[in-house]
Amino acid sequence: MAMQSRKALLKIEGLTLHYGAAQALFGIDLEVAEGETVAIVGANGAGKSSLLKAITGVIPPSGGRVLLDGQDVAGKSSSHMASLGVALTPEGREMFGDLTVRENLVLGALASKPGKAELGRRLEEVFARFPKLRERSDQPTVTLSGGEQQMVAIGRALMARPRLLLLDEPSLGLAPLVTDEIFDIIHRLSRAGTTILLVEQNAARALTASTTAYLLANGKIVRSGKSDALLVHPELRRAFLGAASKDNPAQSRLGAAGLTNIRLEKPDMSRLTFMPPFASEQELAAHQLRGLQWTMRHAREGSSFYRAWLDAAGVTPEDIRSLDDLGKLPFVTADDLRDDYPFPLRSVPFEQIVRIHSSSGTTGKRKILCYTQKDVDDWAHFFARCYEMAGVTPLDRVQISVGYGLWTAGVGFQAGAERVGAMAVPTGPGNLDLQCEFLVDLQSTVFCCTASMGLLLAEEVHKRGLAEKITLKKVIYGSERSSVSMRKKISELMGGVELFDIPGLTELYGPGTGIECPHHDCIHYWADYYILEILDPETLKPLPPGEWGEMVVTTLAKEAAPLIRYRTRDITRIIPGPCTCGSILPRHSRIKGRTDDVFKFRGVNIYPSTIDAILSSIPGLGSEYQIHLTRDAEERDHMRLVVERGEGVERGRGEELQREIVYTVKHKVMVTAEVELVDYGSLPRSERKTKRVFDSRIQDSII
Amino acid sequence: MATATSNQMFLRTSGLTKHFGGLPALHEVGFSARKGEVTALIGPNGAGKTTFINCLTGVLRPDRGSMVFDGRELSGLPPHRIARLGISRTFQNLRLFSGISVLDNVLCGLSAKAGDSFLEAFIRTPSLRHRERRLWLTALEALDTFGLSAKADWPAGALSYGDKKRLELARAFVSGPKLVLLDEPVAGLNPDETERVGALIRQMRRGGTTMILVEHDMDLVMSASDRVVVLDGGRRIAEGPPDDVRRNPLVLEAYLGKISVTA
Amino acid sequence: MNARAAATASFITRHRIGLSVLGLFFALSPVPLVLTNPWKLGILNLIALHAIVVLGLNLFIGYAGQISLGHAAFFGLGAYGSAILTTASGLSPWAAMGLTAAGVALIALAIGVPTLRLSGHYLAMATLGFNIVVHNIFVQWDRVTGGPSGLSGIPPFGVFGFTFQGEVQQYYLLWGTAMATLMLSLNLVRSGVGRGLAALAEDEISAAAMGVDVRRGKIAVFTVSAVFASIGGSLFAHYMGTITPDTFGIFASIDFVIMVVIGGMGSLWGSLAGAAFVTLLPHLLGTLEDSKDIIYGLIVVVILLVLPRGLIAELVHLAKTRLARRWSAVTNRPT
Repeated sequence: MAMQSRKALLKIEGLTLHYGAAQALFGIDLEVAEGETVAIVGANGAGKSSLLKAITGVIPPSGGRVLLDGQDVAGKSSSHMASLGVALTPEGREMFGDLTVRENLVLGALASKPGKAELGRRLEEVFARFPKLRERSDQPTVTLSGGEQQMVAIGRALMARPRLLLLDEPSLGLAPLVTDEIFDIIHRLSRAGTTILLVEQNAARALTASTTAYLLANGKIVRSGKSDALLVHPELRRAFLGAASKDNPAQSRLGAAGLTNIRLEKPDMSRLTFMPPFASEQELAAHQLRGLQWTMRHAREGSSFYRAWLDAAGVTPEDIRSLDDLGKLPFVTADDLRDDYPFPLRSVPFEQIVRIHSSSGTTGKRKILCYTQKDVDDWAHFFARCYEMAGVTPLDRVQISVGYGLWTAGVGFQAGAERVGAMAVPTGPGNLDLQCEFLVDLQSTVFCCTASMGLLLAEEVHKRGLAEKITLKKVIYGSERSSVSMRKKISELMGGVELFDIPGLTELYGPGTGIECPHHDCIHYWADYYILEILDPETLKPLPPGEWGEMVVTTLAKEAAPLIRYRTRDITRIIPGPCTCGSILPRHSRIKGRTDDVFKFRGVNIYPSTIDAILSSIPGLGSEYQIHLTRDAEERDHMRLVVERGEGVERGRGEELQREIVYTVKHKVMVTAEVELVDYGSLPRSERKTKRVFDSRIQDSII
Repeated sequence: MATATSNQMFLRTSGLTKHFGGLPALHEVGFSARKGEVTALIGPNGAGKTTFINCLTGVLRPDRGSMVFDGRELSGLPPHRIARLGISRTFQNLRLFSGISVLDNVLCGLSAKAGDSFLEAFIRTPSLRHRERRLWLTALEALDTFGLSAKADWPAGALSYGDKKRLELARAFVSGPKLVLLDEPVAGLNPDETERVGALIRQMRRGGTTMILVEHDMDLVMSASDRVVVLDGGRRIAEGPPDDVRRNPLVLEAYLGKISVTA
Repeated sequence: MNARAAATASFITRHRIGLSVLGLFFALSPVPLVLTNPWKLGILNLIALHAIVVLGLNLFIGYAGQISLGHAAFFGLGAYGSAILTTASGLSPWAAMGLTAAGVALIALAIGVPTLRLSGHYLAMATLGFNIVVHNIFVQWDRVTGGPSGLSGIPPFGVFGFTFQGEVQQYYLLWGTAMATLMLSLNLVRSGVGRGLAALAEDEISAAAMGVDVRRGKIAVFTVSAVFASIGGSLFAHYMGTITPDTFGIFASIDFVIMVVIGGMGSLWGSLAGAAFVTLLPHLLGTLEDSKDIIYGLIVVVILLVLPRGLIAELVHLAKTRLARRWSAVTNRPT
């Protein structure tokens, strides 16, 4: 049947409503034609109930007109409205619990004062529509199920033979299968020609049940139109059909805030990418060779250190004709950097140096690295690449809680964030109160930190119950090794964030030299900026791909302080083969540890990361632990592991956990350790790097 | 979650057909689920959803068609072999082991990891002891996650309905399966319990478990799934992201019957 | 508690099952020194033999939820096999027992594979049928089995030249074996395999969905119970010295089932009690000659009504619940 311009049964113009001084409705205009079903959709607090209260006369409006059939009824009492044929099915059903179904229904007709016969006829109609109620007509309504009560509520409203039926959240709190039934009834009523004003949080249902819909947010109508058109509209789908989900409160809040000028779709960014343009490994290799040759010449020309170094080795830049010739070159070590203090490896004149960074020197003098403007720009460029690979966009808000100042981390993360167009929130390290405050208030979506800080913050977020209030999606962390269980813990406590490990070292620009793959099984590194070799730390011979060894790096474009075969002392391995994520950039594993991390125990070399992995595999343990190495009076070494129980794990399980740890450690590392279990949260956590190995044995001069 | 271009089809069926007597319960159903995603399977009652699950798990033999999981063909495999490939499931009408304890029920979920040898069991070798201990700790952890640790020693039959539903889940997830088939995990639960189960499912999804979710509760399907496939009368009638499927007129028609939107 | 005491307590808790079995063995050990009447000791020895069969049967019907009305056949095969091998081929009793057990295992497999597809009534009938066939063979194949008068002159067990003669020595052999069988069964039940059996007893479809090979499990536990019965039978033959077919008919099978049920389905400790109870009862009722069978039947029915979980299990359950209620009443705390 074609939709003629029907008479408007209900017309609302400029309606405002105040609760004391607070304004709830800001000029509502809407229309319900006779026989039509109109839906009002909005999140909690949008003003739906206020609107219904204004229409039914429960609260007089503070302004505007409510026209029922052309007559202004604004401010009339609710009994008056009832007598005019406006019936309400209240939110939460509001049964007269002790009264039977029949008694409740009869009450519904009260206002229209029907005669006995008429009453009987109406009851019969309701029972015909709701056969279930007929079966239960003598039961007190408090004994009925939610769905049945909702039927009573609707039936009660229908008893009044209303001209306008107002349904307030009919699906609220109903079991899923029952909601289908209720909406089926609403559809049928609608087809039968009843004029219905349906108020719902569940936008999808409301839109499919109505012809016209109004989207209410913050007391205002933000959108109106034909329901099926609104169902299809992408922006509104996202804003409102997502609004019902409890999982995504921020999205509903944005939508509910009526901020339709916020682009909820990804805007058309210029397809800017920071990924290198190489299509094949050969192209990459050719680029690397060019970079290597340039670095050789540049270093030789600009740095007295490198000149002497090359001469000592008897190698000239011309000798480098292929990437294999890298093997001819000697190594640069951290000691070389310290010896050449304060501007080691400097290969450009001072006027070109625009910045220095320094590492946290724990042993001896600090390592100071210089940067030219190009170095700074290159670094920002490939750091932006890290963000790109992690899926960070200009819509993201990147909260940076790593150290600024001399340390490379803060500036690095910030420059990269700005380059990729995201909003940088430079909170700096520590200050958990501020971090939490900003996570909630600014709705940061990315958090940058050390692994320890990540855990600290995750526990704080959990303690304060903030997981539902924050919209954190990603955590990018670096400069510290992390175990599987630590990552899992951080992810869980913060409501399911994705973690990205970001490698890097001060000598090699800073963090950002690669980033964990979006498939989380490897780290892609930027091979167009440096060459990575994996060498045996003892023999310094190259290892086949896949074996663990020391990372040795050679820069390809670094000007102020180029690195040629710099021994980083970090242990990792190359992962050969193509990556499932599609990137052709080569990959390495997460850093296993440092060559000086390893400790010797009864003749066996042990990495803390191995202990990490063992503890991560045992269910019921927390992610923090300590390794205490002691020597007794008889010169025997002892290892004591202090391990946290998992959160919420009671002590009763302790004995079995202990046995399991002892057994697995013995099995995997061939060491019998003492194990002490402590309560969750009792071991110290730090914002920077957590110290876990405490070796109080007498140190030999050579380890 | 950042999705890459090459996301292999973890599970794929094609041309899956099953008749009961002359009636087609499934007709040429093509279905795919991607790794790490939750794929919902919806449709009105009798659409063939449980039949589909039963075919996947080897309880029923399809008449025609193939089912490939992680590169392996599932047709013809008995249920316990399919389970050992890493596919676990819950049952629509609950199939707990009522006479044994809650903890033992969850331990049964770890059957594939518990060893098969009678001899080893008889003499109780140290490696069996160690394995039992590890399983015990894993089962307890699962009970913690699903909120049932306080009732670990109860006979499973004594639990409330809501607890039993969660026990089925715990039993399905404890072994860290590659694929979990959830058959109406919230049917019959009140809103609070539904929310609790929904939160657990979302938590498992965040952990990266691939799931196929058969459900009627649209809120759960919207909030927990990445893709939706719709069955009606044994045929696939629609598929796509939840939002798209929701407004598909064929889908609405299947669920609600024809609605005249205009009078 | 100091470290030593804590370590001991922990050891005891962790090995409580093994220590309990050992404890029971030590508790039973002094009995022959006190109870010198050989006839009474003989009954105790019979109880031990029955217990070995009942433990295996309990694993099959109590734990794995199946049914067998023919286990006396395996008991008989064990007895006859061992008897024939020792009398005809001069094999040592240990070798005979071992070989017979291996043979019975194969027979069980051969029977099990087709019949365990059946369930409930059909399986019961099949096992009953099997028992009847085997019994008939014992009776008819008189060249080998000695026919209705059976075999005699079966040598007793011996080890390193020492033979187990007399009730007292047999007591330690038989009860030692019964305890070992108990230990093995307890171990099985608390392993992954055992849980798999309990699962398939409750719900085969669900168990299969967990990865339990239901068919293999049923056949395996059937075979194990047959082997236990066979070993019991071999020990029986070498203990009695003489065997006749009527010991191994269907009524014996039903007796075994009653022992399982009274002891408690799925309760292994209960199997000992069940074996004891059913073995002793006819002797205790001996004075009531004619009405013996009726009273026997009545007592069995009454026990099943009053203590449905079985002798031991029901008392344990009663004790636990009473204690729990009293505790919560005293402390006003929920248990």
